[in-house]
Amino acid sequence: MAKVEEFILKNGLTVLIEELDNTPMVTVNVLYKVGSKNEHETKTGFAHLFEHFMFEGSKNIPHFDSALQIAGGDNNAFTSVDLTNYYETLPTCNIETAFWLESDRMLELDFNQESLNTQISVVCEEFKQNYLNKPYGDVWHLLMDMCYKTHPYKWPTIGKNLSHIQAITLQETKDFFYKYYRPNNAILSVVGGIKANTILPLIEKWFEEIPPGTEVLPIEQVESPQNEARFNEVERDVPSSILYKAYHSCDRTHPDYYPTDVISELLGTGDSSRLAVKLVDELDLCTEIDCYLSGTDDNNLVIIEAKPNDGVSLAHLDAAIKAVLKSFCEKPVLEKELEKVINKACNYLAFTNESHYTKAFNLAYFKSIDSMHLYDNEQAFYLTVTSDVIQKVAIDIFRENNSSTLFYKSSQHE
Amino acid sequence: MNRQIPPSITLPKKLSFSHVHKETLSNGLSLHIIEGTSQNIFQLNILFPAGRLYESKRMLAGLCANAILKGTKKNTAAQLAESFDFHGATIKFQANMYTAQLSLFCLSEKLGLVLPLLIDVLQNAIFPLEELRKIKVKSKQKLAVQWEKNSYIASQYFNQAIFGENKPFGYLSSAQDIDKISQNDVINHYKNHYRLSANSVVIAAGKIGLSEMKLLQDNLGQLSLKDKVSPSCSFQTSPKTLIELESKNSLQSAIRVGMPFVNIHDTDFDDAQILNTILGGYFGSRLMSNIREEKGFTYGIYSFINPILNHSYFCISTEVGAQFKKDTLKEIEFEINRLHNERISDEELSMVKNYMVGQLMKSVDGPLSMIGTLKNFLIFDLDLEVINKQLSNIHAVEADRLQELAQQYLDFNKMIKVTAG
Repeated sequence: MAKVEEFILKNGLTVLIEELDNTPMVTVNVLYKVGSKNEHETKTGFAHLFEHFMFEGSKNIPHFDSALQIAGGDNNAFTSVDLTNYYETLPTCNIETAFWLESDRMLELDFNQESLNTQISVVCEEFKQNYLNKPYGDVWHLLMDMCYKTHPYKWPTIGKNLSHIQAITLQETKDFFYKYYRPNNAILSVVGGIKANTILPLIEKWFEEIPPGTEVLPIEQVESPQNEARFNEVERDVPSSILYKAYHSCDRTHPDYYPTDVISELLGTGDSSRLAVKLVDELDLCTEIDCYLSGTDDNNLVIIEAKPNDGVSLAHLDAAIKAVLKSFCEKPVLEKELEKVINKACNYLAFTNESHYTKAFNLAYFKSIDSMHLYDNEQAFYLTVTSDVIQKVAIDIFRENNSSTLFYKSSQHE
Repeated sequence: MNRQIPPSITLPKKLSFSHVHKETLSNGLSLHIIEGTSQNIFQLNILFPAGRLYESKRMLAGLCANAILKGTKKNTAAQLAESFDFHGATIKFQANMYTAQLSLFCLSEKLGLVLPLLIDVLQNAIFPLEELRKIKVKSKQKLAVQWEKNSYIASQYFNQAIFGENKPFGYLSSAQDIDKISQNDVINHYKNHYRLSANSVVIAAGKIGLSEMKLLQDNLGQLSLKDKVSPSCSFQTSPKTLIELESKNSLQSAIRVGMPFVNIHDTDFDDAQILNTILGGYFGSRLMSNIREEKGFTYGIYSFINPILNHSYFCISTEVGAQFKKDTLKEIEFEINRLHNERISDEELSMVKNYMVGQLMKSVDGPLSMIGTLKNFLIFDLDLEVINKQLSNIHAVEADRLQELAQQYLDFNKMIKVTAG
């Protein structure tokens, strides 16, 4: 098992360090515990827009990217419903540049109206490129809005619409920064060809003087249990129809999470999964079918996505999927099937752990959900999943009253 | 502490890759081995001379790659899928311009179970009619969705203009062409082109000890080889430089701007790569700074050089708000002309150099990065030592030289400009 050193600076910043001996590079990762779930329903898309703003220069460094590129590094960032994550990958010898850059933008940003206007425009183009000007681009808006009634997962991270993003003011970005981007709401993880005892003093040097903020409390909205089957049907100018089904399941830290992940794998990952064998191979009802977990901190969804063959109605396909789920709940899975899924999980985890970037993110991520025992050790949790537990959890998930079904119909074939 | 003073920087003058070596198997096949992983993982990449260049009918290479796992003399499609999945292995075949690439991922300890399955696929695929029918339906469905995307439309017409509409790399992908392919066409493509020769690109990376080496020898060593293949191609670039396409998705326009370019064996190539990086090859590039960061016209704009056999082309690619289409083309022209007319500042050039050195280091950081890098060299009969040549080249290049190259190779007026939507 990996040896991870953990420190908490005086200002509350959590620091995690893992030493590797096979790379001349290092990843410096900063996770802020704020995502689109922290937004207000009338101001969506804020957390993601803010991620863009973090690259627009800080108090002492006008050009974040240039300064990093001079050190031979590159970087990226992403925002999810639960968190916002930034990372730099650079030659280990220049690691201090990453600390200098990340600490300066944690200290204070250059709050500048012109930069904000440009990033609003860039994000609006991103919104158009990925959600408005693209076939099936609105699927997540439709599906999440149906699945969540009170939880802020009901809107996607990009935001509900362009007008929310266009309305963001400079004062709001300041308020957001001083509320969520304080060291006590962040996790710094460093993985690569480094020694903890040499980089910790550098981390203290650059980060420790940043003042903490008031504690950020977890969001209050929770999703009430679903008690009715939900259905929505839309018609769009796309070449073929798609069927989506989503079922509520547990939080990421719940003991049922790993059994649920195994269930989604068994049902719909790969050509030999239950849904693919029955509906693609045997019945020839669809060309593709997948089942996966949404992977959120709270209240995960098990999502099934199926593309019907030409001439097969979505209602027919829906009935066939339900029949597979019913038989899955009725009969215990075979040991061999279970072994297959465990093998796939072990394979996936080993490849994931090869990269220092994914290790650095995972360190920060598991810390953010208070689950450091899972880091580098998820395999053990897959190995405890039994056929009995799978059946119990599956029966609980695949209830009709727990389902949301979206018929995304093609108008080109009607 | 003064936060306005950056920490000091150092960068290497030479990189070493001690974990790469080459083995010759009993059948004569050259196997490149990359070791040095902390995990118990294994990746295999094989490039077959089986891409579009070798098609007897249009769309055949793609269909064959998509159908190759759909049954052998020993295993049905379902049995194959079940077996690879059961061992936790991932296998994929993908056809490209002139190669078809196999990628196999598994844990090293499963190699003895997985390699015989791969050999079965490489020797005994049968392409059952019913499976081919299903693959055709799925391929056509995917293609129809692709044709709804402005970026796909623009890329297709750009390729057509660069390569020529009747050339294997230039024809437009079409569902009708998929329908015209028979089972015999697919089987013949497989039999003739999914075969290796001594100069084929075969690379294994990960935990490869004596027992893994023996398994590779026992399995890959039994494949029969054919004579060396020496592919070549020619471009028939369209004289028409402006191609404007309508699309129903009118919020944004996809733009492609480019022209035939320096080939990878040319002595100018490495410097041309640096020039490309400055213009549009990284996030801090001139195109990105101007068109995204200053003007906000787009979510992203990049340029790249795509080397293909004895040729290459240069291309700028972006999607912009529809109202910014004309202005974006103007700014692209402005940035290309600026490279002609102005010497690049020392400040910018040293930033680009440092960034590129970091990228070179990243490209050989760990076996999984290295396998992709090595593959892209071996295709062109180059080896990893090219990295150190590129490295010293980056350290040495001067602004005057880059300005000359821009004047010599980048001509906005001659470039093909495709817009969709």
